[in-house]
Amino acid sequence: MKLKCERESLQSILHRVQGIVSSRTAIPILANVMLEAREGEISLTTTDLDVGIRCTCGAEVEEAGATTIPVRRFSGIVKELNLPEITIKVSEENVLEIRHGRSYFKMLGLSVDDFPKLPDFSGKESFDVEQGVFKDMLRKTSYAVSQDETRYALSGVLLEIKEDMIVVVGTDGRRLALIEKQGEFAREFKKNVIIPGKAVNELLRIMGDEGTMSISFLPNQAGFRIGATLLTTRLIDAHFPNYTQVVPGEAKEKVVLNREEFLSALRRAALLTSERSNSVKMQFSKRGLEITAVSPEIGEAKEEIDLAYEGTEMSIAFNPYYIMECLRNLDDEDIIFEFTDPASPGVIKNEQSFLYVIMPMRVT
Amino acid sequence: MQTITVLPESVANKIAAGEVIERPASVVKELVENSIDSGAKTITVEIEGGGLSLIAVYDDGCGMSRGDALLSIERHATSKIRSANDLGDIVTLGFRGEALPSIAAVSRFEMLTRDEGSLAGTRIKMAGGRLLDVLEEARPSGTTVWVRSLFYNTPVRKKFLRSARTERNHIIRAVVLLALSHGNITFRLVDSGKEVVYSPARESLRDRVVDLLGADFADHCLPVRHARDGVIVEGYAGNTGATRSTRRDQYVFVNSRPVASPEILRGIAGGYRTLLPGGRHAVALVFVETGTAATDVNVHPAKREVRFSKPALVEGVVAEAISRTLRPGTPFGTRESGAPYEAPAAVTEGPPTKEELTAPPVPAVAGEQAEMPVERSMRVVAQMKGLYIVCEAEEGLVIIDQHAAHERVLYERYVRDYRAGAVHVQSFLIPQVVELGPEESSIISRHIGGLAAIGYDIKPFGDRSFAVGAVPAHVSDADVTTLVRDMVAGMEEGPGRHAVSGTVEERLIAASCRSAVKRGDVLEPAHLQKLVDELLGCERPSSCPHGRPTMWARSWDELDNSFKR
Repeated sequence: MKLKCERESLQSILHRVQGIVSSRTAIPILANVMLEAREGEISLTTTDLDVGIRCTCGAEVEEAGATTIPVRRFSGIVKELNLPEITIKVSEENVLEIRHGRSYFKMLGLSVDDFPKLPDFSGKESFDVEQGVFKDMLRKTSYAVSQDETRYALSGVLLEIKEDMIVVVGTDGRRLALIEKQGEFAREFKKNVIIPGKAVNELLRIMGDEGTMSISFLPNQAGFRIGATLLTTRLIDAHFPNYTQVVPGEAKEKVVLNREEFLSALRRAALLTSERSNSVKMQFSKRGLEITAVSPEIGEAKEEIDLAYEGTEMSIAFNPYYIMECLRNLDDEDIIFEFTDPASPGVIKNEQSFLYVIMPMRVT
Repeated sequence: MQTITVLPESVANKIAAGEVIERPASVVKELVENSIDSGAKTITVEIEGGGLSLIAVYDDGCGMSRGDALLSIERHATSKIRSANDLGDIVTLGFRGEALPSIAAVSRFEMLTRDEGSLAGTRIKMAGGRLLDVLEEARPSGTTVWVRSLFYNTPVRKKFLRSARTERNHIIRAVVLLALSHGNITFRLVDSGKEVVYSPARESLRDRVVDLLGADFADHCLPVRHARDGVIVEGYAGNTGATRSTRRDQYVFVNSRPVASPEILRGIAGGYRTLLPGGRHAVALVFVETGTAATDVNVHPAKREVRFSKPALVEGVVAEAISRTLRPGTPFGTRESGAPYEAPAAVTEGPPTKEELTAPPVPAVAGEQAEMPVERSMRVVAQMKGLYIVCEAEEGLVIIDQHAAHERVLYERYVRDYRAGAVHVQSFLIPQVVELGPEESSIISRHIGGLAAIGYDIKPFGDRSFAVGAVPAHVSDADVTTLVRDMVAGMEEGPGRHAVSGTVEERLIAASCRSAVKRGDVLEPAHLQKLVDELLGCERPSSCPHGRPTMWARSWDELDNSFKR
């Protein structure tokens, strides 16, 4: 294998693929990136067996071939070489050589035969979606995903495709973020899968705001093609809870709040919560909204927000961080906050089809 | 098809013997218990070859007539109970009427006995359960039993025995345990002609302990005395400097009977909570009196186990007894200080409150400190190596580890704050369904109310399933199934005491460790003095919450001695 390519494009695709490589892996070859040189292009592949990424860029290929080499060191070399073009040579014995000017590197690789193959999506049915739209959907839901590995079904986002609607849901069992997009997918295509949190984070890193991407499926795999990049992921084989059951019906009270104002008031009040007293009390009355945090061992905070409120006076306790995470990931000027009573879930909505359900807290 | 046949008595006896007579030490235990029950004042045990060649027990008890002696070797023949009603009120060590026939079934057995009323003694010879000979022979009143060639006719059991040395150690422990609980009897154990244990009848428990466990053991122990709701706990609790890697040196007795009781061992561990480093166990000698009605000893053929009618109460009183004893925490002369004795029934047990349920079981009764006759002031002399605080106390020199001391101060403050605060409970969107085993389900069903009080909303959800609707916010991302399971496991004795408070306790300990001053922090003299004062104000100043010591002390006398003054 022998090729010449632009350093900058090689560096940028290396950056894309190396994110999923763990520095501590029991299988040494998983710390490697697979290099494949074909007519006019080079492609790089990494995988942690759950998620795999392949990225391609143009190259002058003199001799086709393939090998695998440790990705961190390779990426370090490419980054530090201060030249517009790089020449790479790999011997039959998987020894990689880079010679340039007065620099010379030799690295020992491993044979591609042992490198896990990415699933093959060729010929599978796929559907297209705007990158910006899908990225926004993932951003507004992925933070709610459970970080607890034992709650397997909740450790990813639900991606539901039905007729001409796409729904993404993330939940950790205490709050749930849901977003729907309608009418933007021409094709009839039904699907209901859970995408692991790690794959979602990689997608958010790779996706841009412009252009379309295509998504295709195998029975237990999903593939996302974004330009010259393919991300594949194992799907979570578990039963996602029935989220429609969680979405409350008509709420009794409804207020409109300025998102920034609400967020910063919560941020300040949260300063006086503690590990033990981690709730804020939201009190709605004729005077407006009062947010208080009380930690007996630390002190207390009170924030007031002007609000024309005519409903029943009540106070409900919530974990402020759950509300803050939601508000931070929205872009709207105002949001709608709905509630019924101190024991029922609160709901945050925006003008689009976003919905956030959050369970209240109780102080005994 | 195999047909069912009734086993010949000789086989049945061997099977029964297997339950009662596990090893030579069981023979010693059964025979010595018989001697104790017969009112003996002196009991001598002789062994050879780890008890396999010979076990002989001589006593000066009431002995037996010829007729009784012949009856005693029949199964279920006993003088100790008359009817099933008596099982509720057993005051003797034995009662099953199994010991002699069981021993006789697996050995070459001889017994010589005479009661006051008989002119001559009776000698009975048996082998493998068969009666060989009955003779008349002279003997002062009392009984002697010789057991030779133990297990000669049960090769399987014999194969599983350990070395003679190990068996000998088991015998020594069996004799020591019985001697500890019967101070008015003289005990001797002779191994191949050499006296191994000699403990003359003693007035005080401490003398007994010195005889049997050594002066060193007694010197490291504080006397324990506590009673509540009809449970009396007495004995000795080792100070926190004397620890072992196993629980072997925790001797437990219930109504004068040596037993293995998980409740009491848990009570001991509870009393030492946060005082011992991980994996270390205190030495302790604990006598629990509950009255015969509150215990059932008819659980195990060898009577090694007992059932309490109120296991949680027993565990709680033992923990209280130990922690009260240890609380004084003076670095000097642990031997002199004792726990105040509290008359029985001085404290009554009400329904558990939220504080009791959520709080780690560290007794915090601020008002009681007044009665503690403990040196409560020390003058800071210097700080050394950015870690050690040198202090002058009235009784001697004290060096304090500033990090450990601050940890202890903070930990106790956090515990107080924790109890003062409310529980914040986070509900779930969809209740998590937890499936439990039948036993677990019945335990949890009984504690649903108690669990709700500490922030766990759990509702029955069909057969053996439970829906968990809310958990305290501080258990945030733990797996609810595991959590509920763990809680159930520790809940036999009352909701929340173990798993829940354990989690909280770990967090509080971690928090106090993070916030405490570190090695290398150079502190102002005023700050040092404040820290020392606060440490002395703690309930348990002598160790940090991880169980490491906070201070090292030498009395002026010891210093004088070191300088040969």
